[in-house]
Order: sequence, then structure tokens, then C-alpha cells
Amino acid sequence: MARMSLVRCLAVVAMLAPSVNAKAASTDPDWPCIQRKVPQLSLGQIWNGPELPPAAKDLSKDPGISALVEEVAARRIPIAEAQKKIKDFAASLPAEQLAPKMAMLVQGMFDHMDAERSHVISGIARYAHKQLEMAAALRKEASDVDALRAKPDADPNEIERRTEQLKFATRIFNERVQSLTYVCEVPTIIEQRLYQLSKAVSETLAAKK
Amino acid sequence: MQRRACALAILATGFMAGPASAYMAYVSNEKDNTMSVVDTATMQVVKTVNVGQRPRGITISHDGKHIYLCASDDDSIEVIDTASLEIVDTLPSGPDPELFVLSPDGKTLYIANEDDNLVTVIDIENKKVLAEIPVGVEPEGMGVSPDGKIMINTSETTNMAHFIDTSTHEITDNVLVDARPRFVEFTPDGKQAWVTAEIGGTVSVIDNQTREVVQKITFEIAGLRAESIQPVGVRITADGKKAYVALGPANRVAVINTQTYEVEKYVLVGQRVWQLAFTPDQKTIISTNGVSNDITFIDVETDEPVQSVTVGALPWGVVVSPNLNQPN
Repeated sequence: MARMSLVRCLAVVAMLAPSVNAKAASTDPDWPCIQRKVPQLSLGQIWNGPELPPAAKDLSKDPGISALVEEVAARRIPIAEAQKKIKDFAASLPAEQLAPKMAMLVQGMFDHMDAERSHVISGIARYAHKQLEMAAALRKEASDVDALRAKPDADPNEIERRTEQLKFATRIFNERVQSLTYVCEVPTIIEQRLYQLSKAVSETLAAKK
Repeated sequence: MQRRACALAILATGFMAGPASAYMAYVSNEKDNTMSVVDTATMQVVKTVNVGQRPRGITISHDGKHIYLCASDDDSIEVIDTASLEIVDTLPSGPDPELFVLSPDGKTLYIANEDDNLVTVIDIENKKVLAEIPVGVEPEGMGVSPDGKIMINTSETTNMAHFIDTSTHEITDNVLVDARPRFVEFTPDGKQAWVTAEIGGTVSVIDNQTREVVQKITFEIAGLRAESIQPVGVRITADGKKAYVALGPANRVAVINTQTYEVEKYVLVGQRVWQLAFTPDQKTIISTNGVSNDITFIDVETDEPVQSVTVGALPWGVVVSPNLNQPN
């Protein structure tokens, strides 16, 4: 039985590890995802309004806006609620402040969420490296356990202990492979949210025209 | 009496505002294996239909009775009855059909088989493969001239537009275009073929007589990196005056004057704009926006986006029924 499990462990590791390798090797070793790697977004992808003035960058002068950016960027807040926060904020502004404050908000959301997205992308690279290391370690341990088993004087308890460890490590590896599907979606999820938030800003400006 | 008049008035209004002026738009959703049916008058999804794996290319018979849908991962073309919205048949397609084009007489489908470098020609009525034409590497875009005599296939890796004689099924000309040509659209007079290049970021306008590139259209959008401008779908108005080009992750549709080849406007619609379709009255053009999971209705007169409608996951293609009052 233990023998069967070990064979299965080996088969799984052998099956999964090259697929991680193949994906990484075909394009970018830091990018294990099926999605195309777009390291950074451009403002033009989400904003069609008037060109943002340099003052829009100066978030530090308006703690209210930087707080709102933090709030709406957080993915735990449902998008409809975040869009409403933007609209409420716009409604609270005097007419002459609407355009400059909204420009600041768009710039702030873009900078914040693009940075968050880049952070996720480098996280994915680390994840991919770790996965490759784990696959290599699992392959080595599986072959060591096999070698141990081949020895006539091997301690059955030792074989049992290491087989169990190998099974556990393989399970973790497999779970990480599963999670990768979700992890790879995160940059797109951030991009989608940023677009939806910017759309809410455009709508507040269009409404005032 | 008054009440009856009122009821009649309501009824009449109901008819006027209701499906009387509705065309149906059908959208293939690549990621969740569905097709959204959208009423173009109310701009609402009226039904979502489960279809085969990885639906992409979509078109409709000239009588509006059948939708043809490339189920890429099922290696087949599904035929969907527009009345019942059920899959009533499948057509042989060759492996991995991605995009196809219907001949002007509505009898033949020309299908690009991305995986084995072929264009498959299908007789729809008899469900027979008439020909398999070897083309360049990774065939993709498909276009047919309005007179049905010439079909063009583009190959993504070879970067060519292959002109194919539809009577002999032979390639007559190969025209080099920019990197990763994606889509072909003939002008309504059949004199030109517009070919988009996704990586090249251009549209090549090819003269159908001389088979030479007569114009190369480029795009420039303030605040956008050049590599995010990726032209894909193209549609040209029936009067031949304006061309609409979907620009992928630039999230915009470019509106081009076909006389001057100038881009007159960039319309921000949604994320990863992929394909386009006019309503038959040419008042509206609809874009599919893959990443924002929606479609956008653009007013053709003003070129303003009118409304975005959420559909399924990763909307890819769109086709609009040729006639009003599609029963559903």
C-alpha cells in the first residue's frame, strides 16, 4: 500500500513539475500564468477624460482623497458600494472643485492599484520559483526514498516516516498548483476594478456637464 | 369606455416600445461556455444559452434562423436555432475552429483551423467538407468579397493575407502584412480588404485588384503605451464611409474615415475590445469587451458610447439578427 502511494506521489510530481517548467520556459521564467504578462498598466487604458494636470499627482495635499483611494481600492468592498462612495464624494464637492478633485482621485486610484498589481505580479514570480524548487525537492526525496527501500537492511519505520512526509509535501505542492489558477487571475481582477472605479468618476463628471 | 381607451393606449405603447424594433444580438462568451442573447432595443440580456467548449467565432444565416458558433475546444461548429435557442445540429469543422466567414449566398462556411494550418470549406446544407486548403502557420482571420469570388485568410505566424479563389480553392496571391494579422473585412464595394495586425498595431488596406498594400493605418493614443494598441475586429459601414476597428487592451474602438484613412475618434468602451457588429439598420455598432465582461452599444451617427451591458465571462464575438422580432 505504502509502495502504491509512493509510486502515485512520484507520478504526480513527475506530471506536474514539467508542466510548471514548460509554461515558464516557453516565455518568461517569472510568469507561470496562462494570461499574458502585462507588467504595468497605462492611465490611458482606464481614462478617456481630459489630460490629468500635474497637480493631480499631489495626493499628500488632500488626505481625504488618499483615504478614499485606499477605501475604494480594497477588494473586500463590493464594487457597487465603492462606486457609490465615489459618487457621494463627488456630490459633496463644490462645483469648482469637482474636476480637480476627480482628476486627483483618478490619478490616485491608478497609482495605488497599478502598484498593488505590480506587487502581485512580483509575488507570482516568487510563487513560480518556489514551486519549481518544491518540485525539484520532491523529485529528489522520492528517488531517495526509493533508494532506501531498495536496501535490504533499511529500517521499515524510517521508510514509513519518509513516505508519509513525501505524501504530505506532495499534497501541499498540488494545492499550490490549484491556487495558481486563482493567483493568476488577481492582476486582471485589479485591472477590472480600476476600470469600473474610473468609470464611476467619468460618470460624475459627465453628469455635471 | 375611458378605461378601455387607456388600456388600448397602454397596449399600443407597449407594442411600440417593445420588441417591435428589436434586433437580437448574440454574444459568444469564451470563458464560461455560454452565448448571451441581448435585445438591442432594451439593451438587456434576455437569455443565456449553454453551448460547447470555448465558443469564439459566431455568425448567423441570412434568414436569421440559425446561428453558427465555433466551439473551438469541441472541434465543431454548433448550429443554434434562433427560435428555440437550442443546439439543433453540429457541422464538421476540422480541429480548433476559431473564426469563420459565411459566403454571401449563405451556403458555404470558410473556417480557419488554427492548429493544423488549414482553411476548411463546408457545405452547410449537406454538412460536407468541400475542401481543405493548406495556408500559412496559425490561420486566423477570414473575409470574403461581397461577390463571393475571393476569400482571404490571414495566418498569424506567417504574417500574410492569403487570397483564395473560391471556385478553385487555390491560393492566388499572398500579401505580407504586419505581425499577427487577426481579421479581414472587405469594403462593401469589394475593392479593398482591410487587415488588422494585433502585434504590429496596424491596419493594412489591400487593393483587391493589384493585391498590394495601398495604405497602412497606425494608431496613437495619448497616455497609452504603443504595445497596448492591438487592432483586432473591423467593420465598415454599408455606405463604405467609416471603418470601426477594435483595439484590444487599448480599450477603445477607433473610428476611421475611409476616404482619408484618418482616425477621427477613439471611443473608450470596455476592457480588451475584441469584435464588432452592426445592427442591420446601421444605427448602432456593438463591441465585445473581454476583460470587463460586457458589450458596448455605440451610436454610429455620433460615435458616442450609449450603454454597456454585462454579459458572460470573456465575451469574444458578436452577431446581430438580420431581421426584427426574433421570437425567443
